[in-house]
Amino acid sequence: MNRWNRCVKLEGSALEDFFDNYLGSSERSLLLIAGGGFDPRSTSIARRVAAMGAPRKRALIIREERPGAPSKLREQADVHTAELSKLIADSSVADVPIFAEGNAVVGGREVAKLLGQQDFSGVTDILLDISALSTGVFFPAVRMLLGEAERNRKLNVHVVVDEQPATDYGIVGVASDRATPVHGFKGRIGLDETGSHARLWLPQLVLHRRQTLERIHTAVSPDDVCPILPFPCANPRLPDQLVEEYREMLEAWKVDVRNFVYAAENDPLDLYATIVRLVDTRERVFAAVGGSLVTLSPAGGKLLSVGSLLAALERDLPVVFVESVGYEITGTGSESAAGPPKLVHLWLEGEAYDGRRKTR
Amino acid sequence: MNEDLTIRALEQVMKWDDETIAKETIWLRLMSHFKYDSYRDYLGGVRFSERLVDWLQQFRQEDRQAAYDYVRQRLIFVSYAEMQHLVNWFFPAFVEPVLVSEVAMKLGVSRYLLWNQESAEREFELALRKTLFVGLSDGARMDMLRRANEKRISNEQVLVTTQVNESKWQDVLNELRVDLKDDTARFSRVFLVDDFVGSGKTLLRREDGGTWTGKLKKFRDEYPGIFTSHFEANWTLNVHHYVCSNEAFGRVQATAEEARRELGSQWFDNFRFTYGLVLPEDVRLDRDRDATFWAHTENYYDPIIENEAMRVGGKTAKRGFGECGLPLILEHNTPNNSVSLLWAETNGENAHRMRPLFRRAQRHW
Amino acid sequence: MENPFLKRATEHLRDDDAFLAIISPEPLRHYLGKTDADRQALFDRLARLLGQPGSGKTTIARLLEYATLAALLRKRNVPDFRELAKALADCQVISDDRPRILGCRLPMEADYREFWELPYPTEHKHQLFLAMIQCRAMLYWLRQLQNAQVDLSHVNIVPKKDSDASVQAIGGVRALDLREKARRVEAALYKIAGAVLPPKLTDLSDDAVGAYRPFDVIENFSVPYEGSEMLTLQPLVMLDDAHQLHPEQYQLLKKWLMRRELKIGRWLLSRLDALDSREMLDAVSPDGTEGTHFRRFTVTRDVTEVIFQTGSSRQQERKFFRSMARDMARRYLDRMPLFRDVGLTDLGTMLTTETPHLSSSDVKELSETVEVNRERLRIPQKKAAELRDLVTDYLRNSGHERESDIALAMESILLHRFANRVPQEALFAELEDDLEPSKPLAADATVYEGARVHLHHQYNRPFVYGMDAVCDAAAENPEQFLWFAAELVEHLANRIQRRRRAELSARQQQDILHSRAAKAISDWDFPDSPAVRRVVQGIADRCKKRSLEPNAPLGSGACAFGFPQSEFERIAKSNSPLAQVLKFAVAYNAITLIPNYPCKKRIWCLLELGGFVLVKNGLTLKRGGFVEGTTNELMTMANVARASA
Repeated sequence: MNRWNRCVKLEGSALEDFFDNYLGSSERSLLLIAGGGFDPRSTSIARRVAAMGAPRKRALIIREERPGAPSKLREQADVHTAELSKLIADSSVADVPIFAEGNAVVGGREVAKLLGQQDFSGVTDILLDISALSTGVFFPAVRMLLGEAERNRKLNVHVVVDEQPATDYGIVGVASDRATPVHGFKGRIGLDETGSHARLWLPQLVLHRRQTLERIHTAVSPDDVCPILPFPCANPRLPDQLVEEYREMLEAWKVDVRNFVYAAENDPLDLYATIVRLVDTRERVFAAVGGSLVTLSPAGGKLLSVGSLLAALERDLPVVFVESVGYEITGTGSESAAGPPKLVHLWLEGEAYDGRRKTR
Repeated sequence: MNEDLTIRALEQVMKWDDETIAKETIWLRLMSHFKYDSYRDYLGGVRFSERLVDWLQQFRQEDRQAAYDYVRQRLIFVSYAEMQHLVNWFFPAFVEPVLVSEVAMKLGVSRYLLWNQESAEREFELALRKTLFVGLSDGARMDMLRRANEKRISNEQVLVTTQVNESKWQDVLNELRVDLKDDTARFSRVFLVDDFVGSGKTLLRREDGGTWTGKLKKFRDEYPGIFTSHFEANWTLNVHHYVCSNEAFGRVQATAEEARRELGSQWFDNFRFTYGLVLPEDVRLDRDRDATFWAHTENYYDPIIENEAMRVGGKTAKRGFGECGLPLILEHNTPNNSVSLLWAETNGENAHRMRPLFRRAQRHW
Repeated sequence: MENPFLKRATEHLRDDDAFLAIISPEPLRHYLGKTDADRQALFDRLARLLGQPGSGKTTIARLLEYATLAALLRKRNVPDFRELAKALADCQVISDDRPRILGCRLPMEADYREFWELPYPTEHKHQLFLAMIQCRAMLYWLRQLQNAQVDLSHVNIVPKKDSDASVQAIGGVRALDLREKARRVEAALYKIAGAVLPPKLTDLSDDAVGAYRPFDVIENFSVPYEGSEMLTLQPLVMLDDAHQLHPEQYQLLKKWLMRRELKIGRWLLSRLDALDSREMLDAVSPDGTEGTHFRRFTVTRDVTEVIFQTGSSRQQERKFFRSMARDMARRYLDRMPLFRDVGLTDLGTMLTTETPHLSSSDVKELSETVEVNRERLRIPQKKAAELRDLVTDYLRNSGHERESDIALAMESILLHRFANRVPQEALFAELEDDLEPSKPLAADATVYEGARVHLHHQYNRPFVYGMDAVCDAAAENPEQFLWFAAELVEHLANRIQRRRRAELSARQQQDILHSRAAKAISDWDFPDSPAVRRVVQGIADRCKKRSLEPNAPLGSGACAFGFPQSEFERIAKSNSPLAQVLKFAVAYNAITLIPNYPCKKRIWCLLELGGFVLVKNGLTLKRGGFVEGTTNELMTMANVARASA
């Protein structure tokens, strides 16, 4: 059985119950890792955690530093960081540079280094709040934390997010000019041994990213492309809009109607299961001709990215993306437009699965 | 099919300039291929673009652009692949959580700690076997559902329709008891599945005279005895629709609760409604925002389509059954809640002769 | 219908035959040197190939890979390939219908840059990085042979003399052993660079830190060819996109590849970094007639430098590009049955150059405006008639006599020029005899072009149409050309389908090109692209204003922003936000940089707008006219001041 087939995913009243009765109990000692970003959702989870009286609480606030961040966004990030520090008194702030000289992407490496230096002793539950963390940072972070949980069987690893697709769509990254694997997610891409593998690329389509997609396509150089379309999704015409916007590209890549992969916009486990199934099928099919290599490129909503993340972790898949050198907020992404928090939780490792470990 | 001819016909019908026809041809080719041509009713030689040419001709020249724009900008077509995804997603997203919370309750643990229990897998499998899946119409795609879950659900727990005879009911119970090697085993939950709910009135409504009717009521009344003979005492009814209108979302639950208050023991004790895709409110045809096309629905209308079933939904069917005004097409059929200009076909003896873009097949059950 | 124009060059990279079918021999002849000595210098020392994205560097590298050459040679008698084979023979890449080199292209992706982020001393990082390049090159060479169906068990290397010990360290001389060793080295290095947390320096495996130096060992490859024959091939490694490396890493690599004792061919392909002022200034030299232009091919003792796509004013470049683009379009159309079957493979003939005309009511209005202006400027009828004669003469002599709308617009320009060049008092006193302009007026090609610009903006008269214009709008960049052509071709295909003549009017072309250019700009997605968009729009607005002045002071109009060269050099050195913006603007063809441009006794640096920007804003494609400005204006346009705070 796949690792996260029975993944505990909570939201709404079930999540409240979990916060009140599990995380909120005095036996727990929480470490919240969150982004102190300009993203209006930066503080929603921290606020909920701060409201828990009983458990011990500590926070590590990550400031993603990008060279091209406009000062307005920086100021917003300052405000959020200060607020986070106030919410969780026992907290530290760490700057994570996303780029090094010459626009080389180093955010993942830096966050891994940062987490490698942390002392997790005494912590029972790590909550990684990805609401205001970017793909290049939270992917390696999750890998690091799961590694920690391997060593420390008592440790619980949770991913939490204030999920608002509209906010995600409203935040437009200014792309770096190179496509790179996410740190720690090279998944054998580029090795000679995988050079003759059948290559499939699963890009998640989002509006207005033609050049980014082309850049990744060039880097991945796939034999086949199966774009991921969000469906069902809040805007049921979105798949049509995406197909229309990327018509020329899809035609050039010989993407047939049957190539599209659908994934529910708000359910990471749906995409996770779909990818794993696809990967396994291709493994079998292409074993005879040398092997198969499936590359992922998450984009857009946070929850769907988590789906890619879980699949990549489980099957050691390469994840190739274009890091953002900065952001522009368009239309609805501003602070005022952020809706009421809609928290979603995934329990990735720990006590929830002890029973399964024993029966496995 | 000669695409060139169709394009020329479209050019004639729409009187477009060179650039527009070139641009629209690209769109037409793309969307026909991506979705529209797969509409179940289409035949070789007469697919979407041919239908579109025919459909547009029912409008006067000056009205055609607005009609075209409505299709181009508002239509929501749930393709086969999308429908299949809604079906595939049904089990993990809607069945499993129900099973998890019911099993957790049985074991007396929080649902998030269910998998911490060594007995969880076993209990989960048991609960799953005690679940019955029943199709509410031929749109429920029970075949697809079965295929998507062939390792999880056995054929003996799927009924493609609610209209089965008593002996079939006996069969499924016997199979359950054989499978579980337990002569007293009963089902503990049902999932009723259907493709779409628009106004909710076909599902459940109270007639003017105060009597309750609709698919749910019929299910309750057909063999009232089975609910005690085949089901555990606190069994749950789960009703799932792959697609639902914004109107039905919420309203259906409220109506069902009203029925419980009125019907008491003649109704279900535990029920919940779930939906795969809830259409947003703003897809509905709006008198102000879509004024031009709204006027078309007034002017190009043949009241002959208002059969008895239609009248249940409201005064006219200009914006479809129940005046839902939806722009929705499902790959296998068009709901009657969609704007009737999209699907209606009449001979026009006494009024406008309506031509369908996506002809609707009448359902028999 | 499949439209090959939609594909970017890199998307053809995986299929040899499809790739070869669209390759034009022109760039080889154009870029890779003129003499045998030039060509030799490409292979006996380090060669650096510099150019912007889409300029065709990668395409050439791809062509020179062994499997491609082999595929080409198998088809050398197909007419379309014969030319290409000949061009390659001229470049000494093949001789006697056999490959002479064993080429492989190694994209310098993130893999390599990563070594610089490892927490080790520079010397160690450098060694690991070099080992990675060498094992990859080895694997890629062998893969090229494999892709060309060569049996690797018969392939050997010929080592340099006296290198026994080093031969052992790379796995021996037999291809299969070499591959085995290279794979082990690759896997070890890959693991180090890819680990979430890097291992300690002391924990590195022997495979990763051993003395693995195939570049120093190999002289040639001995490879079976078509049956029993053995070829001796010179290996060539082409390190593509080298600008992705850390600057220090790049310098060390360059130094290492410059060593004369290496026998393998080695190319470094990278983007021309316009803001590395020394590099840029080295690459350009002033030219008396046309300002400045790039040296294309330079050979020094240690390095050969080749610069792709000079991009500035050079008439020669334009001519070359036009012929290459036509050739490319022919090859692409030939792959589309809809066009091929009816013998339509010359895109040029389908893009009419027939002059558009304003409607008669517009002409009437224009003519009234000209008359009103004449009166307002107090220019006597007689003088105006003289000017009109100048215009008529010019139009007749240049074959434009039927363009009455242009005639009026030219007359209007001359009237305003006249008014500027005679003393105002004379006009007011109506002293007809004194009305001699300080400088004689002429109606020439620049006034004609200026009139076209005016009418485009005043009456929406089509401005960019015809094959040459499309080529010029692409600014010597094949990818930009394809971007424009793709949609023109789609519209043509649609016309053929509707049984219409396969021809687009000037108006249609103008509209398509305009929307295409606008889309390209809105799609820009690279570092600083929002600021780049702001800067080019700011420049375009100023150019437009200047171009539309009634006397068309710059003739054809402005298409560039000039500011003092000294200011440019200061920015280039400063690494300021503005420098970043300009760097990416140049890298992505939003502007072309022309430094050291002498004009009016001063030295300027010109920022010439790219083709997309010119087309979108209806500015002239004729080069040379610029608006004068300052660094501060650029900063305001870019709106970067706040980001630098």
